[in-house]
Amino acid sequence: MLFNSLAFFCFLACVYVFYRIFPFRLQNWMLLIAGYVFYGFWDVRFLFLIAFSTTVDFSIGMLMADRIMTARQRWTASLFLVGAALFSLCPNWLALRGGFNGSHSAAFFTLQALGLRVLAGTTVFVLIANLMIRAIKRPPTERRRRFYICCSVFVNLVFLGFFKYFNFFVDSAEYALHAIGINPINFRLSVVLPVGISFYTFQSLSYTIDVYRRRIGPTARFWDFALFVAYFPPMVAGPIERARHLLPQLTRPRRIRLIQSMDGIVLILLGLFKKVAVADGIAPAVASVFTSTGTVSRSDIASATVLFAIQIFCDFSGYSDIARGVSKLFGVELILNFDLPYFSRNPSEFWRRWHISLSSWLRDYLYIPLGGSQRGSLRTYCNLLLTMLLGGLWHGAAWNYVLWGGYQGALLCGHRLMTHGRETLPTSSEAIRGTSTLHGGAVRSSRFLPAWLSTPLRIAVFFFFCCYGWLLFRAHSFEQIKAFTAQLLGFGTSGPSVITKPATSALVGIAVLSLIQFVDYRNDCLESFKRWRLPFQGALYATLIFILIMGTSNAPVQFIYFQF
Amino acid sequence: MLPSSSSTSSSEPASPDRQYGHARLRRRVLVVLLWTIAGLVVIDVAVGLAFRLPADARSEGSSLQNYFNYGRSIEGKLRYLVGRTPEEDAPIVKSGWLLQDCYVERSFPAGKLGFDIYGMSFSALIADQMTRLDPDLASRQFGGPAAPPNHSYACFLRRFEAKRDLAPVQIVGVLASSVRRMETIGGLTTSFESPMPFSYPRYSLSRDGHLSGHMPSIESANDLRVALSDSDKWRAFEQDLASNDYFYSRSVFQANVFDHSVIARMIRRAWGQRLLNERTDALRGAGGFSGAPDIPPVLGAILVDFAKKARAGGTRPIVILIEDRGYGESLSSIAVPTLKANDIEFVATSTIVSPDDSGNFVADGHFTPAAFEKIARAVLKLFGKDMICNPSTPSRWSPT
Repeated sequence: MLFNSLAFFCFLACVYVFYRIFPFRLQNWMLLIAGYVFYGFWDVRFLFLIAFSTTVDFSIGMLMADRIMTARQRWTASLFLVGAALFSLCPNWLALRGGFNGSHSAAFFTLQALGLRVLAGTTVFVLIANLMIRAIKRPPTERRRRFYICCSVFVNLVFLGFFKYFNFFVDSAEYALHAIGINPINFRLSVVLPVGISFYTFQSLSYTIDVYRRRIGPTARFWDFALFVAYFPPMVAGPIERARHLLPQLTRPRRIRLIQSMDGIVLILLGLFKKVAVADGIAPAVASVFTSTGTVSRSDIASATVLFAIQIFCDFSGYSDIARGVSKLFGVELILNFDLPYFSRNPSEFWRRWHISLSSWLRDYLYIPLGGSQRGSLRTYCNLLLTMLLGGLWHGAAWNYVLWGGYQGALLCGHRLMTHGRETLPTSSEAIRGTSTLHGGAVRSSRFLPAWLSTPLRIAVFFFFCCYGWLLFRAHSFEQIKAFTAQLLGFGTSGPSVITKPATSALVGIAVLSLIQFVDYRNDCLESFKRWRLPFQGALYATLIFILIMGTSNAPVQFIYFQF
Repeated sequence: MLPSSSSTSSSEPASPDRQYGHARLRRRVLVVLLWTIAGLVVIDVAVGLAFRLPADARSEGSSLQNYFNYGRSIEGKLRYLVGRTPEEDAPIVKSGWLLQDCYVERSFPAGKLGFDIYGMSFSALIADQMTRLDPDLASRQFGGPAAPPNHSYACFLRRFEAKRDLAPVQIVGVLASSVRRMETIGGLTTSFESPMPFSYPRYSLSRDGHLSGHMPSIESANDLRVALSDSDKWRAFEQDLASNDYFYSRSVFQANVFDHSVIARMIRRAWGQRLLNERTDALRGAGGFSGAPDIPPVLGAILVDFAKKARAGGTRPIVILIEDRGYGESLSSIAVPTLKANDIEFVATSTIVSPDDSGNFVADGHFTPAAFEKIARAVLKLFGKDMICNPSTPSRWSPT
């Protein structure tokens, strides 16, 4: 279900109406079911993965705390997991694609062999796990807690690794073996990538790691934790929520304030504007260059790369805005994910402003455990590089994402070298509170230029570097990266111009969005238009709605980050 | 809507609630809402006035004038495009009519090998490249904008039955993206933004395997002019469309009050595109044109009958399967087996220029000149494979 589809808004309207009617507990039940419906809309079968992740992380969270699981908790988790296997994998959900008529419904109830195998395996797993958990009588030792957290990390990463990276690693291994003259057996599997697996896996992992670090206590109520994992607004493309931020909001009764709802509606409008009018309007122009296998003109490459920088920002931050806006309608605040990233003057600042929930996650759960900047310069550079390489790989199972991560890591290292490490990645508390300052950390002004000139210049120079990163990100092969880079550097032959003109809505939308962002930057405040006088606010909203309507005729494109 | 402490502190409790009080807050929300509505009305009227279409449909409007009028109903667009007299018609009204184009007598320059080519802009551009590559060739082009094979076949048939002078080579270009138009009776319903008024028959196969065509009542620009001024005829035409045109939808066809609002027009444009895409996707199905089981046999029958009649007329039939962007090899998959089985010469462009490589296309969706040249060379290669007997042709085109 796409945020920019009619189906989603019908779904949201139904959920919202019932949400306003129901008392707190029923609200949570409904949000949980809504989460499963929202996710199941893509592929019901993958609900089992979410259920497995939920059950394992909930149980490990309980076991890591100084208490044992009660029989009720065990029963709930066990029945939930077995039920999920039965519901999501045993019927033939694909048969329903043609509608629910006689023949289709008969096919639907034909039990699937894979489903039955998974059901049997799950039942055995649940029985063994229950027997083992029942045998635990004492509070866990540090060693055992470490074992539990390793289990959680292992289970989550195995799922992520299998569904997202299996074919990638097999392909790479095959390629390497071919290079040394060995013809390996084909191990490739037709694995379908579950939508948003990286997002909910990281979200769920943050819970067990925080429980292990004793930053939060475990959630005693299974269904609360299930809702934390399956809360639908950020479920498939973030922001990657932290348990200590989201769980307390879900477990306590919420009050929906008018101002919060209005903020939510404005965010939804802004998100739709970014996605529908701008990102989808640019997408064909970008695709016309990046889907070409032949030579294209140098200006095409440059234009398409800059346009992709705008597309990915509008696409992803548009999703985050809609997710945050929808969540506000339910009285739940999500982490701020984008903070005027293209006004960054250096890579360090960029990562405080771009995909904040991921960069802070990587910092807290990867960079700092690796030693952060506390183990000498060389180790710090290695940590930065490794963190960004893995961050790149998180985005997708392809070498160009790794290259992009490496490029970002190199930029961060280079910048650190130049600034002697005076600037850092955002802290998690900054990300959760959304209080990272707009103008970044301690940034020295240039000795040679006045601030009014050096700041735009630094923004422009960094944007140039950033755009090259997006070229690496968007390219479909190493050959294309090589060819495009050579052309941009003035080597290679320039071909004909193939770029299509972006949609009118995108051209007008970029101008309006740039203005809004510039005003925000100048005022050091996001959505500063809310401080404008009411007629001006109304005029801005009318303009955004008008451009959004212009964009409704753009061909809808799936959110880029869904594939991650 | 109100000065929150900025979304950088969005997780903090909303202080404006306390700051303004609930009643005042509600009033402010209402005021912003009213200003938004007023703003929308002003923008709608201002854009409508600023980007009005030129009074004379013959003069081409600016791209923005066209942009804000794409969502006008098809009937609304027709009423604008069709003048009171033929002289006042917009150029698009005049193109593609079978009655007008297919009976025209055009002779080839002496000493040149002539060929007739039927289709659309793609086939015309291929013909242009062929004559450019070989100045000893001359072409006669019969077609309409994005015309489907039923238009080409109907045109060929009319010329054949009227015993018009057929060129030694008869070429039909079939465009993959136009195959869906085989389920229509004209160019009105498949190009919502710029409808093309010309009509053509919709063919179907009878039980005994014979092709039969249903021709709409409007066969010329004049018929259209008359129908637009006669409500009974117009209703009958609409009824015909509703019964025989798969892409007809009343919501985007009929003129109504929404034609006067820019915002309503843009919403209808999106709706029209959505309908068109949904129906096209339904026709295409999972692969090829599996959603429309009648298309492959009808297309096959059209191509076989074209070849049979062309040969009977002493000419050489050639088919060009033009696979444009986004259609992969779906056209080849349904047409090549029939062409091979009936020994009909053909060129499938997907074997020459990849339909998946955007580098082979220019912005308007046509192939690049280089791609057209490659295709033209492939067709010329067919010409050279088996020389054509024609007393008026230069020696190198004489039979070997």
